[in-house]
Amino acid sequence: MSTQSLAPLDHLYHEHHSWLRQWLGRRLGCHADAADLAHDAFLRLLLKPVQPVFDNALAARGYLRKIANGLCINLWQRREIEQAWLDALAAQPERFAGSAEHCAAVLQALQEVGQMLIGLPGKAAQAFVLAVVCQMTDKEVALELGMSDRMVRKYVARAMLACLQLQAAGDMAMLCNEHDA
Amino acid sequence: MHDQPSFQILEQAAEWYAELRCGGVDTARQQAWQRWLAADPMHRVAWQAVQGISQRFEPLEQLADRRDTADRLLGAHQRVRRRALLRGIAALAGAGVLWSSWRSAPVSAWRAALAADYRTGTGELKPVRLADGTQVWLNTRTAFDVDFSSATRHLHLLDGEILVDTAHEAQRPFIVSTAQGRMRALGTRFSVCASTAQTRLSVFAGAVEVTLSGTGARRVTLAGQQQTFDSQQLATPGNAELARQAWTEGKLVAADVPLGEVLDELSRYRHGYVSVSPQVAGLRVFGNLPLLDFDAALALLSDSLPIRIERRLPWWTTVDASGS
Repeated sequence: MSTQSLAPLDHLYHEHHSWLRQWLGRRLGCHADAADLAHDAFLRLLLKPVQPVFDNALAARGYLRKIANGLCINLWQRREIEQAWLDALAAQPERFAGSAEHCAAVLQALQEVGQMLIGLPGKAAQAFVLAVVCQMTDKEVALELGMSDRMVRKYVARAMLACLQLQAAGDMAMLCNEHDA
Repeated sequence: MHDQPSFQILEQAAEWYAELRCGGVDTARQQAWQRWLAADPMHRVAWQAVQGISQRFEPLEQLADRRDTADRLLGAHQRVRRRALLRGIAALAGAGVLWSSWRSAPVSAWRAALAADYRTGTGELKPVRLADGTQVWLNTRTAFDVDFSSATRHLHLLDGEILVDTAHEAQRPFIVSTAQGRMRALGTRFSVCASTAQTRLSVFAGAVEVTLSGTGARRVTLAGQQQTFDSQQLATPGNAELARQAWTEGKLVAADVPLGEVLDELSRYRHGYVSVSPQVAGLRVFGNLPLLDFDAALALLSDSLPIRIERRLPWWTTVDASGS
């Protein structure tokens, strides 16, 4: 059987998986994380509505590197946010005692806001966090960040649009995956 | 084929969210939004997606110190940004990897129901008279759509609880439907309480015929009976609690009801969290409590029961045994 007849993803996996794992290992300094993320990178490819086709190995690795970079950022962001939430809890020791579920729900929501911040420019990220986490009105956010109400509203809309697009992309991937199966 | 709203429609939905999220919008703009919603089914789909997303952020509404948490969150984000730059990852292309999990999250019915014909918010009770003269009371966090045609009078309950006193009309049957089934009124007064998993029907006068949405199974529920069902099966009928109608007057009438259930019921009318210790959750409650005045209800409960109520934060109430 020639490599041509293998599914493209199988081929990609055989050729590049261990390279990607090593590359991630160097970047993350942790073998277990690297193995997880390398796996996730291929999983992401699998979920793509259209499988990319590469002219050569270099192009394939460039693409995988891009996905892996994104995954690194996600991982760092998740860990940073988790730490930030633990710090926040430590700053108010008594209040949340005995409400593990609530803490988990808040952390989950924070992670979701956090994931969305990736990809938003600095000011937009600030505006969105103040609006959503602090439940501030446009006026209050505007005052805080020294921008106009209109700008705040624009940033909030932009952030919501980013969520909607991500969600739509996820739905798409799911549908194509079901279709293939 | 599963249709998806176009980019332009998503953009419009996001803009409406940004405009409406703080409230305080004038009637003209609200009507403009309603018109936009009605103009295209895809608009509704996009708006439901917006509601689903904003729902994901809901746990943050109960944060003890929002500002502190927000600052820490932004700090965490800044650190990641710096680290990415240091490692030469210029384009933050990875957004959304974890968002794929969103697709499976159910859109909370009451959020989706923001676009419903009739609705109430938390702690709101509302009587409504429909075009045919039928009287409907909406309990807290309730939403329904009305679809009257020449053949039927159809009320689609999206979430919450209604008490219905139907106007008699021999030609057009009166039907209430939920996700779990259809209820055809046979000249009657009844209440329907819908949640995502099940429907509870209580009949106070006349009779109601239930048809399950899943199996098509039917059963008639008579006055004085209470029937719980999901889309697959009907539970054994119980006795309708006459006291359940009291909410239309803003009262909770408890006769030998566990404290835990009473507090659950009271919680439906307000934002915030009530934590009840297992030691006292089973205490029996008798009496009339005001539904819309949580503080007064708590005061009444603590007068008659051996409980201690503590409110460290406005939204966080703890109910414990008084000795502990």
